[in-house]
Amino acid sequence: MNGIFTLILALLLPWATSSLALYAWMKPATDAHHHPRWAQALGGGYLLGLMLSAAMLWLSAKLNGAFLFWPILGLWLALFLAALSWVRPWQHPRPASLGAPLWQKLVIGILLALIALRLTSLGIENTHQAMPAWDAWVIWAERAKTWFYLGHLAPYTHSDAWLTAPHGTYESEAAHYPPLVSLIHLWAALALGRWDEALVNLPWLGAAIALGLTLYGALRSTHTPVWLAVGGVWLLLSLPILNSQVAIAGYADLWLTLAYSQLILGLLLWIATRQRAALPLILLGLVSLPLIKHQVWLLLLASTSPLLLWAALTALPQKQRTLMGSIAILGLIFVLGFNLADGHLHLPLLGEITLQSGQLSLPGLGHLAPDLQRIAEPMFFHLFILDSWHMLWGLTALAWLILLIRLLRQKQLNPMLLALNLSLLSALTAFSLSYASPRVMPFVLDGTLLNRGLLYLAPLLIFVIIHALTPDAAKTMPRANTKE
Amino acid sequence: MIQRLRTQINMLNTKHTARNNVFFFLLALVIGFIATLVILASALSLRGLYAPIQWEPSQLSVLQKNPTSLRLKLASIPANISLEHYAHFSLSGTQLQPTNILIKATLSNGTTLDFKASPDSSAERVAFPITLTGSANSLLSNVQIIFQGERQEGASILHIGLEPRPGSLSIDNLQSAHQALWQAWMSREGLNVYSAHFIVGGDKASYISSPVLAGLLWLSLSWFIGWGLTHKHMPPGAQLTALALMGLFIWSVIDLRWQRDLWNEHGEDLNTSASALTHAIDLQADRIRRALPSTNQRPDHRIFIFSPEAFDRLRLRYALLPLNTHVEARSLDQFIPQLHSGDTLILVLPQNEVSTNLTHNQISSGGYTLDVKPLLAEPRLAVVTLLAIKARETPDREAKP
Repeated sequence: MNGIFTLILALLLPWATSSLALYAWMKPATDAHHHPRWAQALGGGYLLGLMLSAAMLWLSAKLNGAFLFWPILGLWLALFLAALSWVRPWQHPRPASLGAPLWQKLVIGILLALIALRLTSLGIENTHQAMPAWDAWVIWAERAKTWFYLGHLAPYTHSDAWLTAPHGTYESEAAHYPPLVSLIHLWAALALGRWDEALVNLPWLGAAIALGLTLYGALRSTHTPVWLAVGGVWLLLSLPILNSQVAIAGYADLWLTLAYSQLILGLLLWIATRQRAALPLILLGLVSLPLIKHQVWLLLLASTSPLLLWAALTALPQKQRTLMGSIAILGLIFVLGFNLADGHLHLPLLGEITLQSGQLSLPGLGHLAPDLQRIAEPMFFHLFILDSWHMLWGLTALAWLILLIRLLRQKQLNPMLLALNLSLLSALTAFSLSYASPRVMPFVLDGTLLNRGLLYLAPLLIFVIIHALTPDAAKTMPRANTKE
Repeated sequence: MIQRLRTQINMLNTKHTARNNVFFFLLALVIGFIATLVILASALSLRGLYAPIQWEPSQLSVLQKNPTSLRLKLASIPANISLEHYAHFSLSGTQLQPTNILIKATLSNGTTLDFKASPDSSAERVAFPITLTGSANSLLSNVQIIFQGERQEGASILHIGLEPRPGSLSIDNLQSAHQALWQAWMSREGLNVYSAHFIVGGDKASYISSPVLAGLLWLSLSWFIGWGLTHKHMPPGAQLTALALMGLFIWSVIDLRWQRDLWNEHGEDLNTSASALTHAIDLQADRIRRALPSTNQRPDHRIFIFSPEAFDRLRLRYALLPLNTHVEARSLDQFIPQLHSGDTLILVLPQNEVSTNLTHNQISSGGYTLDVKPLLAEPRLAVVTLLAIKARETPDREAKP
C-alpha cells in the first residue's frame, strides 16, 4: 500500500478542485433540470486538474531546479477547501428525481452495474501490467522515468543529434513531443514515491471515467433520456479499442480523445443551448490538445471545427456574426498571404505546408498522393470485421441511415446533429486521405495506427448513434435564439 | 410481379380478418428467413474469410528432427480455406530460417493437399504465401509440415498458423464462403459446432453463425416485417431504429461473454509471453547495472547499446534508465568511427558481424578489432569498456580521447 493512498489523493484532489471551479464557471444554466453540469464539470475537471498539476511540476522544475510535489499537493488541498467553501455544492438544489418508469430504472441499474464491472476489470489489468505498451515506454514513460530518477527536467534530443549534444542530454525519437503525458506519469510516480511500472498508469483509468462522464454530460445536455445516456456511456466504456488503451495503458491517445471530446462536445453544447457552460469546455479542449500530441490535433481541428464553428457562429446575432466573420476572413487572408507568398506556410510546432509545382506537401504526411484503393480493404477489415470496434461502425452506418431518412421525411434535422455529422464525415475524409498518403500508409497496413487514430472520434460516433435512437430529442431540443 | 404483390397486399390490408393475418404471418416468416440467411451468411462469410487457423504447441508433435529438416504432425482442425493464406510460425530461441516448406493435409471431403512454398519475408516472422483451394469449413486432418533448410539447434516452435493473406478478399471467395456456410447450416455437424461455440464461448464469428442467434434474428425480423405489412403509417425509420436496438442487444451479449472470458483470464495469470520477455530484459538490465562501475553510471557517461532487434535495444534502454544510453540500429563496425575510448558498449548477442573473444579482451567487427575491458559476459550479452580501436589491416591506433 506504500504510496497508493498518496497517489489516489494526488488524483482526486486536483480532480475535485478543478471540477468545482468548472462547475462554478459553467453557472448559470438556464435549463437547470436538463443540464447536468456536474457530469461535464467532472469530465473536464479531471483533465484540467492533471494538466494544472503537470504545469506546476514543470514550472517548479524550471524555477527551482527540482520537482516540488508536496508543496503542490498542499496547494491543491488549500485550493480544494477554498473551492468547496466558495461553491458550496451542498447548498445547490438537488437534481430532480429520475421520474422514469420502472423498466428504465432497471435498465439504468443494469447498465451501471455493467460499467462498474468493466471498470473493475480494467482496473485490475491497468494496475498489474508492467508498462506493456510500446509507445508508452519508448516515448512517454521514458522521459518521466528519467526525470523522476534525476529529480529535474533533463533535456532530450533526437538520437541522431545525441552524439554532438551537451553532456547529460538524453535521446529519444520523440524528443520534440509535448511533455504533458510524460508529466502525468511523473505526477503519479512522485505521489507513489517510487517508479512503479504498473501504478504510474493509474491516471489512464481515471481518464476513461472522465471520458464517460463527458459523454454523459453532453448527451443529457442535449435532452437524451437518462437510460439512453447511461447506455451511451456503457457503449463507450465497453469498446475494446478504448479498453485496450486503459488496460495496456501509457499511450497519449486516450488523453487526446478526452481533450478532443471536450472541445467538440463543448461546441455542440454551444450550438444546442447557447449557454456559457460550453465556453470552459471549448477552452479546455483548445488549450490541452496541443500539449498532448501535435501530429493529429491539427488534422482533427482542421477537419471538424470549421463546420462546428460555422454552426456556432450562425447562432450569433447578425451584427456579431458579421464582425466575427470579417475578423476570421481577414486573419486567414493575412496568415495565408504572409506565409504562402513563396509557396510555404510555416505552422508553429508542426512544420511546413508547401505548394510547389502543383504538389501539396503536408507536415507529417509528405506529398499528398493518396492511394485510397490500397487502404480500403484494411480499413474495412479493421472497422467491421475485427473485434477492436465491436459493432460500432455497423451501428454508426445504421444511425446515419436513420438520420438520413429522418432528414428526407422531415425536411430538416437538428442543426447540432447536422453540424456534427458533416464534421464527422469531413474528419473521416481527412483521415482517409492521410492514411492513404505514402508516409502514413505502412502504419495503416500493419494496423498500428489505423484504430488508434480513429479512436478520437469514438465518443462522437456514440453521440450520433444515441441521438439517432431518440427521435423525440429534435422536438425538445432548445432552438437557437438569435436575439440573445 | 412486385406490383401485383403490392396490390394484393393492399387489398388484404383493408380487411383484418384472421385468414389475412395468417397469410401476413407466413409471408413475414418467409421474408424474414431469407433476410436472416442473407445477413448472417454475409456477415459470417466476411468474418470467416479472415479467421486465422492456428495450432497451439500442445497440438503439435515432432515426427522427425535433424539439423536440416523438421517434420511436424498437427492436430485436425476445422478451417475455412477458401483463399490465399500465409503460413506463419513463432519460435522460441533463435528464429528458424527454412528455405522450403512442405505442407501435406487431407480435407474432410477426401481431397489431399500438398504444397511447397518458399519464404516471402522474414523481417518479423517466417511467413510463406500459400494458396489453399479447398472448400470452406473443411476439416483439415493428417496435417504434416516439413521445414527444410538451416535450423538453429535449440529453437522450438511455439505455434503454427495459417493466416489469411491481406488483399486476398474477392467476390469469388465471398461466393464460395457463402455457399459453404449454407452447406454448414444444412449439415448437422455445422450446427453442432456453432451451438457449442455459442455455449462455451468463442469469437464474434461464433455468435454470428449461432443458430440460437439466427433464430432470434429470424423471429425479430419477421415481426418487424409483419408490422410493416400490416401498418400503413409507420414512424420514420422505426424498423431501422428497432434494428439498431437489436444491434445494441447483440453488442451486450457479446460483451458479456468477453467480460466473462476476461475474468477467467484474471483468475489464471496476467503474464503473457510479451510480459515474460520484458521481464527478462528488466532482469538483464539489473545485471548490467550491477556490473557497471559507478563512474559509468553518471548521466554524462556514454553508453551504447547494439542489438539487431529493435524491441531488445529499445526496451533495454528503457529498463536501464536513468542511465544515459544511445541505442544504435546500425551494426557495430559501421558505428566504430563514432566511438571513444572509455565508452561503454552493451552488445546483445549473437550478432553475425561481431565476434567476441573476451578472454583475450578483444571484440572483432568488420575491419576492426576493439581492445576492451569486459564488465559482464553472458551467452547472449557482453558489456565492455572500450580501451582502443585497431583497424585490421593498418597499424594500431588509439581510440579518440
